Amino acid sequence: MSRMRDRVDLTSLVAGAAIAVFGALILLQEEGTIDLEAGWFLAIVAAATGVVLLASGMGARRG
Amino acid sequence: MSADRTLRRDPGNAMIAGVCAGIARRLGVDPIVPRVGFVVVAIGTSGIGALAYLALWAAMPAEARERPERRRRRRGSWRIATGVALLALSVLLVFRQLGVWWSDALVWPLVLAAFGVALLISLTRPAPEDAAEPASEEARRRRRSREAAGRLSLAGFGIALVLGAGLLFLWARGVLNAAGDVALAAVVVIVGVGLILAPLWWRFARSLAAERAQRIRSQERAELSAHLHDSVLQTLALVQRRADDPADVAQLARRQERELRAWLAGAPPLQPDERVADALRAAAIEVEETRGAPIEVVVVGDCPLDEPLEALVAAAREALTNAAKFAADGQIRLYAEVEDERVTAYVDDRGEGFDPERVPSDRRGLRESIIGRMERQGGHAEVRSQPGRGTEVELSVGRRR
Repeated sequence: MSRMRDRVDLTSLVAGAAIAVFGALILLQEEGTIDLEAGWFLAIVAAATGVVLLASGMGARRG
Repeated sequence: MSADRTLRRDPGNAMIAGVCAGIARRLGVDPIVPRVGFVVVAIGTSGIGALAYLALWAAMPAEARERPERRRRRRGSWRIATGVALLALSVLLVFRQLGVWWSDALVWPLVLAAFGVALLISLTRPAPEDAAEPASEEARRRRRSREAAGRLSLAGFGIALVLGAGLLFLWARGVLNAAGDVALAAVVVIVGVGLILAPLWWRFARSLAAERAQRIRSQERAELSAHLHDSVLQTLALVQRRADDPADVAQLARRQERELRAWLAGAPPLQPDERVADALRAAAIEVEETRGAPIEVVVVGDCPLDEPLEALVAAAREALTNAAKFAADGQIRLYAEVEDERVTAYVDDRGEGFDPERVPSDRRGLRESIIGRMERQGGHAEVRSQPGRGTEVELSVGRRR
């Protein structure tokens, strides 16, 4: 269990989750369930990239 | 050669996460090629294409590679700073969408200017201490030159951001409309000239840094030569002249050793009238020079000198003098510790030792100059000695508040 925990790359995990969320939003948009303007998309892209960079930076600092 | 054909990120040459560097390494091309490709795709798809980068970041494992501590810290810092900036941008965009907003003409130039100012402020901070300095002088020189060039370029970028923010504000307020095409032409020309001059600027910055490093090295070498001439060479000349007096030679060598150690450690001049640590060191030096016995001094902590501590220093000097008298060629040690409540000093030697109970009553050195002096200041002195097993004198006094 601890070995598995050691292998988890936080950056990849966060980036993967961000892409999954973004994909889900695009899907919902295409389905017409939600109606997101470009401004909202930009905000989400910026937030996702920011979270990924933050996770990566903190991972690098921990070494 | 490795048989592993997995496409890996190359964090060692990364601008962000090393995706492009990893692809470039696999393709055998310069990293600038995939980087430009990603930027073009990201612009061409209105930013959505940048998600491909994130996807590759998530999918590509990093190259396992040891990096120096400092690079790791600094790269981490950049990512954290950029990440926080993007999150802040995201919050601004959310407010804008919600209508909690002043105006684009005000907020975006302000954001741009804030970013530029933050960049400039970060450059004014001193660089962090390096835990893994390269071994060779050449590598150190190259690193310093690269870092200086990077800082100069970042400074240029920060200034450009602030100026750009000002121009953007003026443009948004319609002030630049009057200038119209002329202003646009000027901007295009300035950008073009900037792009042309960028490599030259980079090379100039690096050569400037290299020249500065060279000048510092020359100055250091000159200072080192001057110091060696004034101290070590002069002492060696004296040693040659006094070669027939071993005690004198030993004293000269000891003094030179002490001075050289202090110089190498970058120690400031002693302040024996103000600091207890310096007073103890000065007392040891005085006894060493008058008695010719080497004394090893270790002082942990320091505090200002006051009356009780002056008594402790004087008692320690007396104990050192006794040790030098009776310890013959044995080593003498002075260890002192400055704590919050009290200061304690130990003087010990490996000399012939004695029985403290059998010290004649007319011998005032031990009774008055050490024990009596400490007790008068509310302190304590204890002499532990046995014939043939050396002597230890413990001196202790409380600190005044």
